Amino acid sequence: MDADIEVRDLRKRYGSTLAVDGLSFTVPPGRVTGFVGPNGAGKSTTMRIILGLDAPDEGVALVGGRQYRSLRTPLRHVGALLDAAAVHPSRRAADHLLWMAQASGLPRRRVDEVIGLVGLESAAGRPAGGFSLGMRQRLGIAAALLGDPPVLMFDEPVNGLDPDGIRWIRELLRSLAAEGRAVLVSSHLMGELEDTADHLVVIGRGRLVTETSVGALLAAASGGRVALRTSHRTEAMTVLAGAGATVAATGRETVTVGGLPTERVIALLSDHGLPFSEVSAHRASLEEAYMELTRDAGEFTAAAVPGAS
Amino acid sequence: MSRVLRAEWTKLRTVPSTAWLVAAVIGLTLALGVAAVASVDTAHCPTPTTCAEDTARLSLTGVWLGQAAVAVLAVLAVTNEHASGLIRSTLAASPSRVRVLAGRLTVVTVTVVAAAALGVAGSVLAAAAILPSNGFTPAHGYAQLSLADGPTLRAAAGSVLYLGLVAVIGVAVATIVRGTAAALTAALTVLYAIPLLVRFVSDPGWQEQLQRWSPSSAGLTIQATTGLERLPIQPWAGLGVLAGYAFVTLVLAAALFHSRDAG
Repeated sequence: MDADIEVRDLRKRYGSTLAVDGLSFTVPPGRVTGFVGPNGAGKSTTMRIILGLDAPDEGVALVGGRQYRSLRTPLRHVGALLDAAAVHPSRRAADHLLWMAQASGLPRRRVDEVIGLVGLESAAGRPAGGFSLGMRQRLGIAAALLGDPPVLMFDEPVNGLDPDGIRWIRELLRSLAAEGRAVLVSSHLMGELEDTADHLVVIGRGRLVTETSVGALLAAASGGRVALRTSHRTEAMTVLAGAGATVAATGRETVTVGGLPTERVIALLSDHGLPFSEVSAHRASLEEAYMELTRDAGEFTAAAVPGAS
Repeated sequence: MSRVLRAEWTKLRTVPSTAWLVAAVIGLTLALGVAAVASVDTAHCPTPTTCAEDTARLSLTGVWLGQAAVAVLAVLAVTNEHASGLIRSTLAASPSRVRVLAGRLTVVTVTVVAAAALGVAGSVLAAAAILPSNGFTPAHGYAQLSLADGPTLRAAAGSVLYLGLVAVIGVAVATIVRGTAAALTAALTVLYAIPLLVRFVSDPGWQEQLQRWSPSSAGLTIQATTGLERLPIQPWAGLGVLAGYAFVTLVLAAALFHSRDAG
């Protein structure tokens, strides 16, 4: 079975809300694909459709070339963390994993293995209702890893985690992709994916905004601009604008300059006797690139679509 | 199917409320049965032989209370997954809705039938021990209560089946409405409110018709061992009416569960 996800012309309506509107993308094996869009963009709906939980009105979602509902033991093909809070509060964590293992024909030994993998050994015998959010995320990830699946999906896995937890999940996601698995991870915050994802599927209002690599997106957003730090910000901006540059203040002493090469910026400032402490090639953050992208996408705005997520 | 069965059994047994509710099914059935039997004495009748008491039915009075625990157990087994969102994990692990429903129905019903068998057998045994001391003796025209007696065995086994059917209806109703409060209200209305309301129908003809077709009134006629000619519906036919309701709600539940998005 191929390790990939393919979504084709997906459309899903809940009442009067069009949650997913003709969405197509693929998640290839061996890398982490970020699934990004504001809250309500249709990420969770798309994931639920991939898992056969909700039926699409149109289009198909295939996992390894097959529809999820046709899989006999799906947890061996796809592992997913949709909602870490979805546990019975008084069932012990180990039992939560045990029934899933039994449903997939996996040995009890596998439960202990994934508990060790996520570092929940000391809590496995306790009811999941008393778990912190971070522990629940780990339990949810253990459940996703139970069947050692070639395809993995995580919906907002770092939501509400402390920095240690975030770092742990990032490293886990990267190592899973390095093992050749297809990993889809959603987030409504671009920055969360900056160090994790290789590839991005950006959606808004249920539609694809772009499908691109993180590197290409950053390069396009940086666009040869220059970052400048100077104590004479206002004067510098006047001079540079006069020379035909597009300038934008990004802080009390920082300016982003577009349309002029770095040498010309330095020359202009020197000619006018304006001191500066730093001139460097501007490196856009993923967040900036995202804003740029969604501005270019025209009709797409970051407003949440009510009722869907 | 065996995978789904094992998973559903693990889910049912690893929630503490299941053990409590199984204990409640047995305890309530037994307690009310014993209380009912202990409260009746031939000394209260004009003569000991004219009590005309259906001692088998009397000993099984507790089923009327035990069914509440059965309904709660069956409903919670389904609705707790909808409340927590766990249903999505269940259906992700076992995508066949029909198999999940069948597995769940099997483990809940088998558990309830086992508990009911204990509660009902205990009730009959306890009654057999108490009744003679309250004047219900062969000398007064009352045979010793025993499961070896055909009608008594039918009443007892039928009561176990009755509670099994209540479990089926509980699972089916909960699958249809999904919310705990709504499902419990629906199940308890069927079991308690309808028979109660039927008593307020003044027209005797109407009342008999309603008793014949209301699920719990019809189903509980399986407990009668005397005066069968005065019953609105005969014992097995009455239990058949309840089974009919169970079947219809189950088919509706399966159809909805299969076609709806996992919620």
